[in-house]
Amino acid sequence: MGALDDDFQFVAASVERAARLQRRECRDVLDGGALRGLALARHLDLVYDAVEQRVVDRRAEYQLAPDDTVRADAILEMRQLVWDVRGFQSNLAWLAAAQQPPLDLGTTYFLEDAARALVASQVEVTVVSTEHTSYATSSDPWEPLISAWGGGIPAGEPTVVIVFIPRREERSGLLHPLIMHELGHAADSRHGLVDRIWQQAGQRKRFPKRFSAAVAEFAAATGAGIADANDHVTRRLRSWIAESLCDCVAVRHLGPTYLYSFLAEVAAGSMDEAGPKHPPPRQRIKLLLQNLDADRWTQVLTEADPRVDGWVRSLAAKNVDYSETDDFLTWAVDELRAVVRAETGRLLGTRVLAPDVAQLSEVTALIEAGIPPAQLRNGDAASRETIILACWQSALANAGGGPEALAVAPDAPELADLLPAALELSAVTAAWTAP
Amino acid sequence: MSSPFSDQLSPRDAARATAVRGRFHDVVVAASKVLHDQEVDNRDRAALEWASEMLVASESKDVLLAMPSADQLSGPGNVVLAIRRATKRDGDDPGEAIKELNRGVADVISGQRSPHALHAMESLRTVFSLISRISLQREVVSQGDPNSRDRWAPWTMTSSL
Repeated sequence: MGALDDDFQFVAASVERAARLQRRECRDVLDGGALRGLALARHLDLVYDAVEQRVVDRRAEYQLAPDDTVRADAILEMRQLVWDVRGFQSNLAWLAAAQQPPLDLGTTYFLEDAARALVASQVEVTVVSTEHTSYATSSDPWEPLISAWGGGIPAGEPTVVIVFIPRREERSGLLHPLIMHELGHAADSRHGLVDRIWQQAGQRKRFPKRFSAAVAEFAAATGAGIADANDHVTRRLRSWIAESLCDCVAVRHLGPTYLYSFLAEVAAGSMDEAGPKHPPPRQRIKLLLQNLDADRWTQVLTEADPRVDGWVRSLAAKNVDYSETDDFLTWAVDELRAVVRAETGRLLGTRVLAPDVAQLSEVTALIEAGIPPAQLRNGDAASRETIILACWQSALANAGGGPEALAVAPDAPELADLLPAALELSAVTAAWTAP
Repeated sequence: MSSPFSDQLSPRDAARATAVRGRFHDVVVAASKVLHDQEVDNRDRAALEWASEMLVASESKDVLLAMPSADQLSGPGNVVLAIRRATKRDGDDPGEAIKELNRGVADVISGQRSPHALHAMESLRTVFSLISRISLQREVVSQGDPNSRDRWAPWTMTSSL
């Protein structure tokens, strides 16, 4: 056996060891009677299956290598795989988060119920608290590798959704509604919503012409070929549409709650910056308001906090000019707002939240009295969406109203225990009274 | 908000990149089989065709545009760099070298093993081995850089708020 052979066997064994070591934590979850994170653990287990099979295959192929160039390259590939597999260890923190969710039980019930409705009846949501500055998500994160190297994810397996929240906001119940936006991304991954919007965009009168012009402009400005320019503009626009869609899903599901949460988290950090994947927040705010007005929330918004309402509408009313591709993208997102809204309506169905002033008033009175509104006078469970909205309104009022109140309301101390308890009791009551 | 993730890969993209990187060695194996006058099978042909697509993608001035995972695979411009090194054409337009390689791949796929095709296979396996080497080098360097962020870390999500 030559030196190359020893090197290959050594590195291949190192890959196998890393996979074996990290797989143990998956097995601990799968074999230890855990109730949460099982699909996540199975996905990771499948990744390690795929990696181990890969090494078995490569060992066999190595024996047939025709020369040392191939042998040396096989070692190179194995070394890269060592890094890749070791990199998977970060995901073990996700398994730990599944066992000890960072969110309160009430919010967890609320999100899981929404995920089942929006994403799939079989879905597993794991919320991970991280050091990242904002919220993010990923659906079936290892599916590409499991499919490429293994047999794919077995039919019937739940969709695995990982939602990341900033560690600082673990107890900011009034910002957790932002997770609804993240579930929108998961719903898109599952149902191909952006694909459908994209198809409809191509059939619109002005869209194809403006799109072609934007591609040509980008190609001329950067020297890229038309195919690359097309790819670039397409990629960005699809990302922007996805963000617009997820905002629409969240605001139509939650009403003004999502606007408040969005302002507190996003508008504080940026307003007119056009992102590679995100429309400018000002445009997003304008679209949120349009959807709220179309869903008849105007009066509720005004009466809840006239200063916030006036401020937000003045933000949305300001026109900002963009150049080149950003100009096209902002136009396109506006142009497609009705298509996005219709697609959202189809996804949400009866879950589109309509103003129910009577219920909001009843829930608000209980919240202000410090009583978790588990059940309404008519015996129904209080809607969780209404509970969160009432809490937002109460927090705004308690903080004195206006934009500054919006900034400090998300962790209102008077709601720290009340909101989670209300959501939990409402979920229990709903389950108890379900036919 | 502006995405802080635009220069990072999501976990899905990173998983995809791992799978794609696995094809580099397939290309080296397939090209080597041709050089050793061994029979190529469908898998080898698929690897060579994929290599051809990669080369075309790398012709773009901005490799990241044509191939979003290129940074993870090899680094922007490193495909072109590898081609230049492999074909000893430093300073030349690598586009011509890519066309020559692709013509060689096309010849092999169609069953021809001309000197031209063999030369292309020699270059091809050098190119893809070099890409792997550069990729590994970047990995090692980034691991040793205290400012480097783990690409599997949560700030690399595809979809952020």
